[in-house]
Amino acid sequence: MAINHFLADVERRAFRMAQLATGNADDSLDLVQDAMLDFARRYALKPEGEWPALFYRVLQSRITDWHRRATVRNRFRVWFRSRNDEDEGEDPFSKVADPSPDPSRMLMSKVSGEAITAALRTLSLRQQQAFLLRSWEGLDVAQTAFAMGCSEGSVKTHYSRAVHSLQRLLEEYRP
Amino acid sequence: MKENERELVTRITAALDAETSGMSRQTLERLGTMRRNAVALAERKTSRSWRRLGVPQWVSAGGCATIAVVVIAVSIWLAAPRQQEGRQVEDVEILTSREQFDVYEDLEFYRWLATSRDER
Repeated sequence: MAINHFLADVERRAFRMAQLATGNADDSLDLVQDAMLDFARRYALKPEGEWPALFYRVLQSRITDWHRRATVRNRFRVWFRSRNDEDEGEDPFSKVADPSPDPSRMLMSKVSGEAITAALRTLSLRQQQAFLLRSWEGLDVAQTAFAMGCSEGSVKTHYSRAVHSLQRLLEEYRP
Repeated sequence: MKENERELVTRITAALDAETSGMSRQTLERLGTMRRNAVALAERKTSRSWRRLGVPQWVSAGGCATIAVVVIAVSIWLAAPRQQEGRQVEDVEILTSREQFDVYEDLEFYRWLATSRDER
């Protein structure tokens, strides 16, 4: 079936896009699953030529919703943490070194896959979406605008800013 | 796009492609399961014949029944005047028939002929 071939073709890139946006593998798999089911439910009978833009519209919408929820959650977390800090004093773990690699250090080491991932993660969500859909997925400006739910002018702006940011980050730390 | 920008984009997309081709088996299996579920859902959708014919989703069984009743009612309404028209034409033929008037004109003769036969 054609839809099987289409989803098999996009599933890995879709997962990677979600992972870059969320930074969490499990959440990314959930987002891709929701996007696939929603796409199949709503757009399976649409012409195949429209599938890429429609699928990524669903996926990007889910990713944007995830970001909204995460923002609200983080606000509450920060608020409660600040309240707890006032009550309990200094957190003893705050002075322990963070074992996770620092993005700037990763960039300095070499321009590798990890450095590219770190650079992509520094972009805003909209810049990241515009860059990945245009450059990696190969959608044109109109399709990207449809997938992102914005104007073509916005896509061009986000894409241009993304390319300049990536250029600056990756060229600056090139060995 | 400038040459150095194009080079950067090529390098980034190549790195992303390399990452996706090296995904863990567990992740690929989960993606495969999701895809099969989505395809099964799409197949269920496309198997509905009335949808394959392009009938909009909002047309439910009730909608189909309503449409059927309307079609029958319209066909009956259109067929009825045609029958009446036929009957009217037949009446006109009877009224305008020359033979009928001849019968009426010679009615007295036929009555006399019938009574004279009875007398014989």
